[in-house]
Amino acid sequence: MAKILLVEDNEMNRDLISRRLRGRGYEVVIAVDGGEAVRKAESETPDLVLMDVGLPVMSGIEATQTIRLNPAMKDLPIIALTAHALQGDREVALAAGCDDYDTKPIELPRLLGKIQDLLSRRTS
Amino acid sequence: LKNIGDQRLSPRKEFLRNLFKNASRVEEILSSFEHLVSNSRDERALLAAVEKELSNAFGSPYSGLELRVLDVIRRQVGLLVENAQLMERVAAETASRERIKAEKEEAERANKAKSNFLASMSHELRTPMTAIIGYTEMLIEDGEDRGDESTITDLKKIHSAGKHLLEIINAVLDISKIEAGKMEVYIETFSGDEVVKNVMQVARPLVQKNSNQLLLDSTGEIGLIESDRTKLRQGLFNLISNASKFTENGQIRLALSRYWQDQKEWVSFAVSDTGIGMTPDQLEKLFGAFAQADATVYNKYGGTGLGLYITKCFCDLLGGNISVQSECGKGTTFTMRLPAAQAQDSIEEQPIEELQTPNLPKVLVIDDDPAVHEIVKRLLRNWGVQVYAASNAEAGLSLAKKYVPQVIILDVIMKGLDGWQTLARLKSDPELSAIPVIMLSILDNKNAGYALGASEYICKPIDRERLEAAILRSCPQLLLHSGMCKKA
Repeated sequence: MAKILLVEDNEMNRDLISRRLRGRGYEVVIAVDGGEAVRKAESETPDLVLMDVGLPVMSGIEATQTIRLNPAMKDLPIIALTAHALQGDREVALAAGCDDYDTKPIELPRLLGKIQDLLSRRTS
Repeated sequence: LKNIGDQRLSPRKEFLRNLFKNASRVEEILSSFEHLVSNSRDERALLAAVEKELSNAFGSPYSGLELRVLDVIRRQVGLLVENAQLMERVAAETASRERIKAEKEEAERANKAKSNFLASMSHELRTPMTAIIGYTEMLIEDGEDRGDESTITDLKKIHSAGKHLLEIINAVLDISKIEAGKMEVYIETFSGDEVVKNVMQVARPLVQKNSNQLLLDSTGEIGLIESDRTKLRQGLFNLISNASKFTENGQIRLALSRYWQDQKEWVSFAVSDTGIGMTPDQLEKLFGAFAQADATVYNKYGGTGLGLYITKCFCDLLGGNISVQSECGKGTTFTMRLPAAQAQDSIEEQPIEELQTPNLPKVLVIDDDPAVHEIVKRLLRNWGVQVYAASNAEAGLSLAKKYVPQVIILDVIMKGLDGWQTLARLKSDPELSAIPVIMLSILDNKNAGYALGASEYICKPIDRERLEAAILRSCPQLLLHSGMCKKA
């Protein structure tokens, strides 16, 4: 089953999303800030990243840009998660190199759809 | 006025005292003048009074000296009154200016506090709700795995109450934003029919709850429109959700159309139901906030009564309107009408500039203010570079493709595509993505600029040194060129 790197600073959200993804059979590794996200993206070689945009230390946008600098990870699927459904966040996330985005509160079926979509695009 | 009169009077008093060295009743007369001055703003009336006082004092006819003295006094008193009036006016104006300034500052502070409050509130309220709803969903899934029916029933109640609360929170936040003038409109071009299909899909479970059918009239269609996608979707969803709430075993019908009226192209979305309908009385207060027809409606049907008000506000924001027709017991039709395109203050078609010497290093300025084009041209006059300019994003993008510049200076706030969208396009175009872009803005928003791939960010008004430094940092080879030119 695919390995997902979940980058999320809020403990409750982290717990919730990771448990529900694990319940669906995904392997989940966790990072709590942008810096850890960049390190784990390299060391854990996940199949997909769920990236919260509003992170401490290094924002999800910066983390995405840093990950994209590594040629080995330029095609790693990244889905941005934004807390505020602010218009414009989407553009910022996509311009930074995210493949897709979803807004919180997470609607699991919708997010799962996006995850599966990106994963299958990668394998095909 | 009394104080001012007193101050002004004392030097005059000295002057008069010298004049009347020998006149024994001068003090007496002057103090009566003081009284008159402090009680009168009318020069003519005052003079008449002075003359009367003098004639009482000296008896008539006046001697030649007395007449001259009288004339001096007349002029001095006139000045006195004018001065007093002037002082009073200046004092009043200063006070009112200061008051206006203070009021304005106070209003700005309050407005800022309000937006901050809104932003943090929406975060603070939504975060715990997200956890409540999310954990409940997870427990429901667990319960389903275990086949624990009785717990699932209760969890579903928590879940639906949580969802309802979140809806209310969102609605109240929407309304606060609308009323604070903070509701942003995000215009893009999209297919109206796709939005309709999407909303119908999302609303289907809601419609089926009361055993209703949701049908789309096949006759009309919307096509591409320029509007706010999210607000259109929310408005449509509100109307369908309303219709299905007040209809049982009936039909909800959506009819679309696109037409010209008053030299403008319009699109309309009509949602009709075969539900309970409304009386003329109920129709009247329909679009107010928290205005459900009456309390019994809430008890039976639930809901916040905010949806229609928000929908109406959205229609207003997008330059359209909403209307309703209803008959008690037969059904209701709501019609949303929106302009198919947003009236833009005519982005003029700009002919693409022909460059005389396309081989010189080039700096492209994209800014809707022609004054900025001129400023940059002037500032870079001695650099030996070619500065060329576009007044909107589209023209700028095609110019950049025609003559690839070494540096692009890009304004953030423009009509049509704004600077950020333009930047995203530049960065996604392989031919243009490597060109350094200097963002130009009246707002200090460096971080967004760098995140989006801008290489420099400078604030308006343009400062020569900062512009030069920014250009040199993003494109050092221009320095070499400018150095060579200066030597030559």
